[in-house]
Amino acid sequence: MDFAVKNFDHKAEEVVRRGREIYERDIRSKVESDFGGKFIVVDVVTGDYVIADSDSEAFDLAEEKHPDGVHYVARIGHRAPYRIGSRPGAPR
Amino acid sequence: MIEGRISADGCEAFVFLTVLGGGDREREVEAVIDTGFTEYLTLPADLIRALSLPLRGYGEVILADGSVVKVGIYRARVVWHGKRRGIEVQQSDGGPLIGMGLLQGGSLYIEAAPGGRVVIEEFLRRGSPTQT
Repeated sequence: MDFAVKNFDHKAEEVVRRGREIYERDIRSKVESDFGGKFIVVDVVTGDYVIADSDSEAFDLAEEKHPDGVHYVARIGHRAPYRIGSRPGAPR
Repeated sequence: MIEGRISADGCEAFVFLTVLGGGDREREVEAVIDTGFTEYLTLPADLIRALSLPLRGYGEVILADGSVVKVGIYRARVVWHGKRRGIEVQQSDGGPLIGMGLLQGGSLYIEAAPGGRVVIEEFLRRGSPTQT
């Protein structure tokens, strides 16, 4: 079984899909020029978001604002916030 | 100082670390050092459950082949250089990995041969000559 299949998580799929949709539609154009490289956590229930230097800080702020929120993390201007064995800007 | 080993086939460098979870749950975890991993630690789902780690959210990880997987991100505490510290953990069922996030401030020594030594030491100490 390959890595992607073994790691398939339905809840993760759904939250990331909703988070991406909200980010692309409502947030991206407001933040991308000023906050490139920073971490953003979007509460997919309310559409609220917070920006911080690390994912850890962004989760802290988001949990303060919405303790019962469902949180999606992204890195502004990046394809994904985390990498295992791939280089930044590597071809897709 | 944290000590580990190169696997018997010489292909992986690993160290043991203690991961602390909810209540007084804790596990000794054998984790492979992966300098291509940008974060702190990955753990498989069964360990995340056994430790009752609180969920922080969901996000994506780009893998070596350029593909993207969607994962849960959890909060854990680990004992690292003798101190407890809070870190984020990405769920991954390929076996625990330690990434560059956790290695920050450390120096890594590897004897890349079967059974070779692996040593991680702190170098960002107060008064250290490397600190400017």
